[in-house]
Amino acid sequence: MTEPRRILVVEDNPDIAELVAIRLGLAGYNTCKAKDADTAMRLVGEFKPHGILLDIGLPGRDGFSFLQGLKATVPYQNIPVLMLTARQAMGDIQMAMSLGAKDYVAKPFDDHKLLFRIARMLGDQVAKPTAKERTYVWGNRS
Amino acid sequence: MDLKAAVRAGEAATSAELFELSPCGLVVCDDAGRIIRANASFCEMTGLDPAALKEANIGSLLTRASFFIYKARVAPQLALTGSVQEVSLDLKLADGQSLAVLLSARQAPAEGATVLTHIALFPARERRLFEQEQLKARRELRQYRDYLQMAEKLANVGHWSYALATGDIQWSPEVYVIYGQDPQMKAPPLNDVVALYHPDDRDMARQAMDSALADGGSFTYRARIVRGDDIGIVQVHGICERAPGGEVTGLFGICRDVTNFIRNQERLEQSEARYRLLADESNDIITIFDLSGCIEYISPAVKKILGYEPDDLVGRNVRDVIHRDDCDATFAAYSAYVRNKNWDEGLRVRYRAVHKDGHVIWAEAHPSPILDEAGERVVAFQDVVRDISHQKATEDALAQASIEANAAAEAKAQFLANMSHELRTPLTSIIGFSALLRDLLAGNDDLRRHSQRIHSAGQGLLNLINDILDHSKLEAGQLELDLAPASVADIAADVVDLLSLQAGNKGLTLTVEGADGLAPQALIDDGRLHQVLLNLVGNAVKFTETGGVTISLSQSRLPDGDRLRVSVRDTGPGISEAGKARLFERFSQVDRSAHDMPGGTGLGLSICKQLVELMSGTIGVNSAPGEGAEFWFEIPLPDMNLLHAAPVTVPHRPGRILVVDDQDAVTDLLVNLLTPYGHDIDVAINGYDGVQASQRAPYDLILMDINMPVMDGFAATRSIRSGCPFNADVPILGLTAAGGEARLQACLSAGMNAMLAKPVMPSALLNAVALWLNVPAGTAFDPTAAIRMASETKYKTA
Repeated sequence: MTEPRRILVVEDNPDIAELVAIRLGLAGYNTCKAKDADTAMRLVGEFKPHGILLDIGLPGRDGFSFLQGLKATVPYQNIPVLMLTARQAMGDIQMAMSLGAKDYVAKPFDDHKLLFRIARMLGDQVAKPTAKERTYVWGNRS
Repeated sequence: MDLKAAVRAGEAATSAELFELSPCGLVVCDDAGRIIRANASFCEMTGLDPAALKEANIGSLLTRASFFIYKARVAPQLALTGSVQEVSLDLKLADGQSLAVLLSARQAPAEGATVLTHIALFPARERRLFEQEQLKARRELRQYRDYLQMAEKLANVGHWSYALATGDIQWSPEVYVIYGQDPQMKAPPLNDVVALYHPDDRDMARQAMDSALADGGSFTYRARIVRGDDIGIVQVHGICERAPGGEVTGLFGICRDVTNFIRNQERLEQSEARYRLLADESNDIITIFDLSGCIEYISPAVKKILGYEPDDLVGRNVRDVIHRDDCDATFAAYSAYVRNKNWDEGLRVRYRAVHKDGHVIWAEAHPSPILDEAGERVVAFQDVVRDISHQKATEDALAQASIEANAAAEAKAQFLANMSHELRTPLTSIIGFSALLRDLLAGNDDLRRHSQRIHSAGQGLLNLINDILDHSKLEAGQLELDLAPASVADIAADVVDLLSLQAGNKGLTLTVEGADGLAPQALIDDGRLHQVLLNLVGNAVKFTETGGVTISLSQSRLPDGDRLRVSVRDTGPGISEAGKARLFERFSQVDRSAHDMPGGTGLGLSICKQLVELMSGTIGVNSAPGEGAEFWFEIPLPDMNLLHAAPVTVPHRPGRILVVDDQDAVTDLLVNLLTPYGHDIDVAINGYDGVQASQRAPYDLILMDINMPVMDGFAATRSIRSGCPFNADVPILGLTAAGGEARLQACLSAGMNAMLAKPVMPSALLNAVALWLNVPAGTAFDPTAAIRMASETKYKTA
């Protein structure tokens, strides 16, 4: 059996971080939580995640700043990042994309959708998404 | 030979000698005109041989014209009276020339029945020349008299003379005209002339002439004359005529009709007085100043408005009263007006002026140019300046109110956005954990159902938040479409997938028709189209109890592009006429069934309508109670080829670019895209900020977002076009996510040169920027060119 995939969850809201961690754990991922950008940056080195879920609104340095730092650090710059954001402004999303984020999921998120997006981000083989999972294509509404 | 015979012989000899030697030509002819004798002088005169003269006819020796005169005048008179004197004729000479002669002749009876004609011919060359000169002189004199007469007629001037000795008065024809007298009549005596004047003017005229005659000087007077029912005015100048000895012999002078001249002068004076009165009494300042601004005239209203006496300012420069900060812009506006040469189009300039006591007033000037005599060059301005301080204060208050209102709307939208963000975070926990519970409590159906209820309620709350947020964005005009290629059939299939469970639970069929007839991809905002369709189909499923729901898709090719028509038909209870009328209004809940149906926010259809309209489409419903309902919408589809258009190749030129956009992400993107090409970029964070920036520095190009807080892109563009000293002609490209011809026209009519679609595609942006930076600097804003360029730009970038 292959080694479980490691996902770093960068989220300052402990409820949501917990929720995501449980969901990912149930789906077979190893997760690690970071509540701010500096902790996250440290954990990238220690935990060596296969992918990162990143909130934009973080205390201190925000998600954009973390993303910029990550993409500027040679060993980590290829780690795929999925933005997890309650902000719906297209500007924020464009900004994140232009900084190198691979995809985004709006909060509140659907469990299936989130899992599908993570799997796709990691390049893993995933089943053809169900209608529910596919709705992300049409925008950021649930 | 006796003495008597000797004397007779001597006399005969003398007479023959006399005949022969006489200094005039002598000829004797018979009654037929044949020459019997001619003397030596005659032969000399004509240069003919005496032998040749013998038997020649006198008529044949004359020129043709003279021969006629001889036949017509000389011969008949000779026959009648026996003599003619000094008839002027021309002799034909032997060398072909002619010779002017005077002919005198007498007839005398001779032996037998014949009558001899004795003709004497004197050379008359000198006399003929004299006569010709006299004739010429007379002709010239007549000509001069005609010219004089014409000149007098044109000048309305006549000349006259008065002989003291005889009392005779001579008038030139024009005098008759001026005095209204019959030119056939003799000029009246002096007393009668004076009697033609107005009674009040007669003594004055008389005195003027008398005193001139008394001291030998000259005189001038002006008198009124009565001509029929019209009163004219004549001006008479006279001077004494003197004999060689010096004594006064009479008067000579001219007389001029000055009626029109005097009347015009009076009228001019009156109107000048009127205008002066108008200028003096006006509440606006009326002023004349030259191109350097030096004041030549300023009306007294300046006292009321600026506190100065007119005399304080005449000779000073208008810069002395215009506020220092407004001087340059004001002068620039006047200079541009002079250069424009479009003087009929009035100029309106607003500037601050400084009152004598130092306080500032707002003035509005309406200058009109004073041209040189050729009418080609402005030499001065006549300006009407109004105090608009009160008006300006009102306008400023309105503008401030509008800024505040916009700020309030912005604050409201921002509040809603923040609220939604704040609500989403706890909802994420509610929805997420309730789903987790539901999934983990697989063995306990009750708890599982309870968890599901929390989950569903959370979803409902989330939909509500999304609807309210969309509605607020639509109302504030902040919602912009995000066009990208997508499949309409996929969107419909997805909506069916999403609702199939719900429909299946009620036993309804849910089908899609016409998906095969669609183009594989269309340029649409897939998310928003999905939202509209989900809402319509969701409603249909909700309100239908038996039967099914059918989604029909069709795409038709119209001359102005493709149109997509989507209809959602159900077999539900249908909607009443009254219900249909309120259906698309916000917060309306139309009772569409006999049952008590769970209501939503009442925003769904209102949002659908606004979204479809944002897509430049229309939405409607066909229904009757008991017959089901058909909701439909039609939207135009932009040409997909626009995406694949070849990039424009124009030479690259770096320039100064102002980016006006309130979204940091967009400005960052634009700056990042443009900076590598050597452009110098400034950023303004809203329309008002953009206008301010454009007044500080000249730019080569402005990129202008449309939906912005404080002042939107249209208002900012209008403001820059109307009054910005540096950038009134600068190309302005609008950035908008709402596509369509209507939006393009709105951009152009606000004064933009072209429109760029959002989200901005790098190649399109760079092409448009390169294209517009190559528009030659100083090119006047030409709407037709703008539209042409805009359509090119749109083609390349849409």
